[in-house]
Amino acid sequence: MIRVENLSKYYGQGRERKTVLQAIGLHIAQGECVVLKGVSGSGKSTLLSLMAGLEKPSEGAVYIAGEPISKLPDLHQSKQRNRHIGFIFQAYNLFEDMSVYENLLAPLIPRKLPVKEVDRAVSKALEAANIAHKKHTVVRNLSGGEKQRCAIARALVNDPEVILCDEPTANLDKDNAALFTRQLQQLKGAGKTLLIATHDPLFETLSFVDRVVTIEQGRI
Amino acid sequence: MELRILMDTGVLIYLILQTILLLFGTYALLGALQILRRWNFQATSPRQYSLEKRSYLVMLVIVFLTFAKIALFPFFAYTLDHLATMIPGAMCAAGVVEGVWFGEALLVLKLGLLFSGGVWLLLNRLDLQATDYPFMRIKSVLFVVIYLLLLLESGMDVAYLQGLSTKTPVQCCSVIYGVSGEQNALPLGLGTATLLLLFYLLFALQPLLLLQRQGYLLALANGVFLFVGYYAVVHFFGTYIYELPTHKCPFCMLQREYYYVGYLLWGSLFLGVFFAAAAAFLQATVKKPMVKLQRYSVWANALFTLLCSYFVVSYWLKNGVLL
Repeated sequence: MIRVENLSKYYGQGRERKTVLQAIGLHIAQGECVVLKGVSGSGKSTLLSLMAGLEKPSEGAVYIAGEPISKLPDLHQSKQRNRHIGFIFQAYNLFEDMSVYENLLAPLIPRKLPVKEVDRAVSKALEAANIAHKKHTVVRNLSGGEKQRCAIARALVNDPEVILCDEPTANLDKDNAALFTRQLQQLKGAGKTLLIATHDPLFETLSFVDRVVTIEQGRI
Repeated sequence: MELRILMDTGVLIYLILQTILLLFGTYALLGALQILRRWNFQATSPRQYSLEKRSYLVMLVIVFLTFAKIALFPFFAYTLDHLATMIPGAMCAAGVVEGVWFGEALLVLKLGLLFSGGVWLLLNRLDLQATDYPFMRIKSVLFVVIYLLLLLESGMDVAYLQGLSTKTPVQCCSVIYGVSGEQNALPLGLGTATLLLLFYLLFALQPLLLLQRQGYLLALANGVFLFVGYYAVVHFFGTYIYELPTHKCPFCMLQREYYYVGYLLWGSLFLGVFFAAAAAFLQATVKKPMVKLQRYSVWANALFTLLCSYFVVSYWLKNGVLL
């Protein structure tokens, strides 16, 4: 499902050049749940951004569902991401002044679906993330855990095969973190491919995690 | 270069913009040459990624350059028309164009540049719709050609403006296109009636060719239509715009007295021909029929034909006679 080949990322040039990722190779099968473990600054978030096509690599390639997402032109990269990938960010990256419902509409806009289908997709995602009761609440008025659930709903609204999570429990308390892991387990049960970048030891102990991959100084 | 001409606001603005565009073009040329030398979309090397990144900027610069050139052409025509007030004997842009021996060639070059730029824009659009930049090399080659034309145009612009004199009288439309003028005679011994018959037949042929999906023939028909349309306007329809049977000029209609209708008239003809020619070029390059562009061509030519006919019908309705 996800194939990473010889992936490197540098910033700057010449003496100023800083290597963030170096010759990463990784293969994640469909339906697999992989935890990417590493300390802050080890390159986890960069790797996830490259996998999601949010950034271009300096070298190497990322394939999602057989398509070289890192090589695609911007427009096609966005379409590919919209179709195949759900991304849960550490800081949620929600539209704070919009309602939960409106936040979930955003990823559906490029698909130009009929209104009924849009409503059905949003309701399904809200139910799955257990946030349907806050549908019309403005995001700014939600608690941290609710924001996280809204972010999960947004990641699910397009029914993607791959879910990428970047430090998903970093801003959650213990109870909400436990709730989040239960939701991840449900997603794994639904056949989604999960990649969780985290330094939280909680994920190493979870029964549904298939593999833990350690990243150190940009190398796996 | 005469200071009076150089210091004209229109000329100054034109020259400054042209210089800026040439600088932009030079930057884009360096990028295009690098793409031609090193582009390999399959590669996942740092060089290829950095080239892809640079290509976004290069393409954006070319898009900007092309749109700016499209906007600059009517401005150039307007400036020429305005310069007529400074050049003895000139009453419209016709006299100013004739003021230097290569004036007409410069206009043709400018039109050629617009056509090439337009084709580049369409090719770029097709390239961005694909997932693997299939036309990156063709686009780059085409841009190198466009740049060379741009360079030639800039040189000719300077030489042309330098060659214009505010002291030497020039011939203008009444002489050039008048009864005894060298450009008065219709080509191939055509009479006005035959010319008009050919004009309307060629127009009627175009929707038929579109329906039959004959893209190359449509382009050919448009090539002939450009030629026939030009003569039909100068020798027949133009006289109804001016409401003077002896006044035959392709430029006076660009003036305020005629509500600048020349811009719309010539613009629609050039657009019609451009879309048909571009469709044929792209069909040959991309190996796909370009029906949408062909449809635009027929619509633009329909506008041109309607406009031409409107002036004749309107004159007849007002006066009950034809010129």
